[in-house]
Amino acid sequence: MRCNECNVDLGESYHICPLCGAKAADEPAHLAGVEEAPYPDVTKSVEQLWDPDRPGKAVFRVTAVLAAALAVFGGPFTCGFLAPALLLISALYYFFSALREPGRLLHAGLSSLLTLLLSAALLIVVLVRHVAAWPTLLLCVFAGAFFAVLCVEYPERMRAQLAAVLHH
Amino acid sequence: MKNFDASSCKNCAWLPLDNAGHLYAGAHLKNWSRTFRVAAVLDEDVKPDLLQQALDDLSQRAPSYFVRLRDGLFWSYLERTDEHAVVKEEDNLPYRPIPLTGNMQPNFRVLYCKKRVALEIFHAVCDGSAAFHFLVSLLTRYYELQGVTISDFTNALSCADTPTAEECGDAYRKHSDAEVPLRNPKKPDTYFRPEPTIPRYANVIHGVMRVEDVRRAAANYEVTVTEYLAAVLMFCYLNTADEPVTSPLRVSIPIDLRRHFDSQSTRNFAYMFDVSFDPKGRTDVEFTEICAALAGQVQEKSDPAILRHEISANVKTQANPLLRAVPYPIKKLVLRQNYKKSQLAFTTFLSNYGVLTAPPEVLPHIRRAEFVLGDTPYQPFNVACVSVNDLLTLSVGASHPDRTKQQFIFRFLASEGIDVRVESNFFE
Repeated sequence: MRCNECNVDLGESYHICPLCGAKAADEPAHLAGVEEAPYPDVTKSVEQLWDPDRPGKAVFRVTAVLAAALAVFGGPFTCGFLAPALLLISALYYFFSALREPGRLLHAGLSSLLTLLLSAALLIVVLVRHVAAWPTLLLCVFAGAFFAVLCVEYPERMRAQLAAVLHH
Repeated sequence: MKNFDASSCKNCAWLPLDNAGHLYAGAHLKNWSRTFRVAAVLDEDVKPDLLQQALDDLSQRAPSYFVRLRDGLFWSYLERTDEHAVVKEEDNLPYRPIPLTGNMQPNFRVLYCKKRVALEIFHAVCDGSAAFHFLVSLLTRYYELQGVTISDFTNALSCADTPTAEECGDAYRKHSDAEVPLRNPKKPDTYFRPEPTIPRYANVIHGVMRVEDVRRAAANYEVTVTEYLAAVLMFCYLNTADEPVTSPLRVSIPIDLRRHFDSQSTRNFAYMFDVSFDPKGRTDVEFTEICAALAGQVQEKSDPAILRHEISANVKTQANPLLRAVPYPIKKLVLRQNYKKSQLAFTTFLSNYGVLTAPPEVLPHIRRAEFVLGDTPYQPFNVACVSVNDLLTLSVGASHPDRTKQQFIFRFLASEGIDVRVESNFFE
């Protein structure tokens, strides 16, 4: 097939020229021996370009809204306890998702480390005489133990991932 | 699992990005990543099971491709992934952006459709040359699995070998010179007109020509094939512009640095330079004038000393201790702006891969090759070409349905006495 408007050869199955839209003429190709390589017909396909947001993101958004609401209505003590608690929840979430996606092990480690540091700081500075101190202390101990387990059980993976994240 | 080890990268868990990779990694948007496509049309329908097997076999030999982008505290990096099931039947538009989050898959996909095998890959992983090298290696393994004995692996990776640090390392850093002073880049005056785009739309038109015809046409104007095609593009812009062009037309051309420096890198190792022509508002510019202005520009700008200076300046900027200490989210904003600036500094892009080489037992099975640059949010129109077995395929991609420029380019080439065969992903 050929397009006489554009003076070019077309694929054997072409009815119109993709350049100008003119009707293809049933004439022999000037460039002999070239086979047609068709593309799929995409008009029927559904575009699924990007995966929907991961459940982790949705969880993060919901807990962020929840934390903001508690900070407003529950006061600084509730919020002070909530922050490390949420961090620990995320550490556990990352740990279980790391079983499927090893790259997340580091997130679990960092979250537990942050929990440890934040809850320890809260204990010392603000909450030592408040009722929330006890669960915070519990969080602190649990996070420390969790972080230690991660470092002992997966030392090479933790080291490699830490090196990747911190390389500069 | 180890972190990056200069002596062997076979088992490394992650790779730092190279100089160009940082730019592409920083530039990606929520719904867009810099993705390009290389493809080969074979002499028979593709066998998907064998293709997947070939890809699995290649994963240990070419670990630097089986990676996905991850963000670090100071820089992003490429993390190895063991997920290899990325061979799929093509059922969508070409060069869709590679999703960078939400899955474990490497930042590339291998698509097949009848006789065509296509590799679509995120640019932070590798450049066009490395992508073609990977595609040829994949096809070589594919034919090996069908019982073909490969006698010479010069142009492909052999699964019997092990990856080297040279292949997986940062070639920019290796070939840069620490003594080069930092540059103070100025934005050159450039003709640039933003074009309307349709998100995720890809209109590709391939023009297949005999290499000899194109070489002869270029020789008539005493220019190289790359300069000739750049001149055709500039002539096209001049003749399709709504108003007289008063600023210089600049066509950005990547140069494969492996051809100028001794490098076996399977990652990014290219440098973008531009050739320019200033029509000064004239509407009666002849094609011969453009060719005369471009003659020798490619040769002049691909001088190894100049290239070393340019890549050294880029590497030195990246190595700045102050810059290195800045957290990545902030760097990302700067990288995105830099990428946008680099895109707006050119009228359009042209990439000429040159001649695709493959082992002698594989080459006869490749009927033709295709190279599509893919769009960017700022440059919806792009041109690339590659030749194999005496057939050159010029692929014009656009993220809008307007075909004025494509029509001009192929009609002009036909008027130059070149036999052109046109095929498109949208046809009736």
